Amino acid sequence: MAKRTRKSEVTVASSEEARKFAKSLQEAFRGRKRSRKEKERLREYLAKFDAEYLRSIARRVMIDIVKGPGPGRADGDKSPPKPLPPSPSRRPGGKRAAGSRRSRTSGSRRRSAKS
Amino acid sequence: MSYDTTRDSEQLRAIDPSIDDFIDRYNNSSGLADGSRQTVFLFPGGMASTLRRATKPYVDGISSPQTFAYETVWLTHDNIVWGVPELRMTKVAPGKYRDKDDCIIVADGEVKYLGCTPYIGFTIWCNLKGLDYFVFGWDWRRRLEHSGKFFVKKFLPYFQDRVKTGCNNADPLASFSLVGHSAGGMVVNWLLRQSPNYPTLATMRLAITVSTPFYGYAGQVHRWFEGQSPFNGLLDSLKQETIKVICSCPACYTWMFLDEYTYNQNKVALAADPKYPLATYPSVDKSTGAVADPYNPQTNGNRSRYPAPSATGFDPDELAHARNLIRYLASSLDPELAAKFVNIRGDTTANDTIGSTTWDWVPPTDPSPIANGAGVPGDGTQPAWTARHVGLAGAFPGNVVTVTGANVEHMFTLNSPTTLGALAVALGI
Repeated sequence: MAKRTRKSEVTVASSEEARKFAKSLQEAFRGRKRSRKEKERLREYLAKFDAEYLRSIARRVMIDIVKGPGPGRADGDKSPPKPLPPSPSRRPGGKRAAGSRRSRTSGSRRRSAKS
Repeated sequence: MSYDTTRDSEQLRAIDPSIDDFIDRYNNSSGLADGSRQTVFLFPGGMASTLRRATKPYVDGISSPQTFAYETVWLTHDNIVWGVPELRMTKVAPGKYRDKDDCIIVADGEVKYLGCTPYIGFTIWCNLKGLDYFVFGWDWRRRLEHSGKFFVKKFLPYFQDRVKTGCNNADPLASFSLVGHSAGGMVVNWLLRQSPNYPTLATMRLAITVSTPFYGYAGQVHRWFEGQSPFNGLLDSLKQETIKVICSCPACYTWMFLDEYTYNQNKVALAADPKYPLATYPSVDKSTGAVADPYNPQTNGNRSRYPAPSATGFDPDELAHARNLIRYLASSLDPELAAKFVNIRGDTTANDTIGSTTWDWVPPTDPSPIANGAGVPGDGTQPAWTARHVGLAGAFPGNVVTVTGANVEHMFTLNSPTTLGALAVALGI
């Protein structure tokens, strides 16, 4: 299981976790051009994830983009990735997966994913 | 109204709601523990201000003011899926830029990404302490002196007038300080040096940098060749586009390791830092170990250091401008100004901050000609040796503060109680 670092009482995903998350997002929207409709679908897609999990990814993305790219970048966490939490099983635009996180999480948690 | 005038006007309009918030906070606060008032302007780091783009283009030749609706283009998850093409800038004359397709981009406070901001700890802390804070979002793509000029010439008078009107004629500039995080500290450094030229800055108490590079860092030189993950798209499908965007942004040219001239001017002082010495020049040729000055790139036969301008838009003129600017920001400070200057730097104690790079000649540009050197003490992004002005360390050693611990990591250091404690001491609260 991946180490998760604690910074000021908040969770930060590992760099590998953030990379996997980004890749899964890019794959889910592969070939889809940016449009108002697709952006809305992206928001709906993200709303299915746990809000705190998304925040942990967001923190890692912010940390890593400022460091800049490059092999050997000291990203502070080189442990193996933790499996992603259950993600939507369908491509965007499809019907919501049964038992998806969206149907189980509270409204307040979902709201934070809609920035 | 010209494009530039319209952009400034729209930038002020974008800031208006934040000024409203400031007025509300001011009127509902009793100030510091002793009842006095202090205003603190926070300049977020590079890439840490939200950018919003007009949904319609500016139209040349219209005399009446133009206003626009905006949508966020930085930082959102859209960027991970579709990249950052909207951030591309177009040079229309030396030192003059427009945004892509003439759709004006304005800064709008700090980044708020999925409810996460690097400055939430800072703002809560200010509220608790009774500091009157304002987060000044700035367009981190532009020449940083443009942001500095906008702040002092346009924003401050406007802010002062609005706050006086909303706060029973209280003057928010009666006693104020600037705090700049990371590249935001470069703007603060510029403002401090320019302050004798601007009466509006006469009442500035302190100019404080937090984790700000004075002598560059390793991250930027990679970006000319590698773009920036995770905005490079699936299987790097957007990488070339991202590189073009990066090459179009003037500010990026100021983020590389220091030039050889500045190093030679300061190498004794840099090497003399008891805990965080810089023993040798940090950017060297991959094969020979000779100096590879990012600001004096040289050639080797038909090979060079940077990607071809024709393919990427890399701008040698902007590089030359940036060299002059970073020399200015690293140059000696007048003692009166130095007395107002405070540099807070971080050391996570992990010794994993990249402190040097090697550089191969190009082409080829893929794979990247840049390789990182060993880890050194720092905040995970900025080496400790770069995050303070060596002249200040000599003249006012008490004005250089080092904070240590895992919680002073670069991006979120202003959420750290350790860093905020150092800030409290600097501000005298």
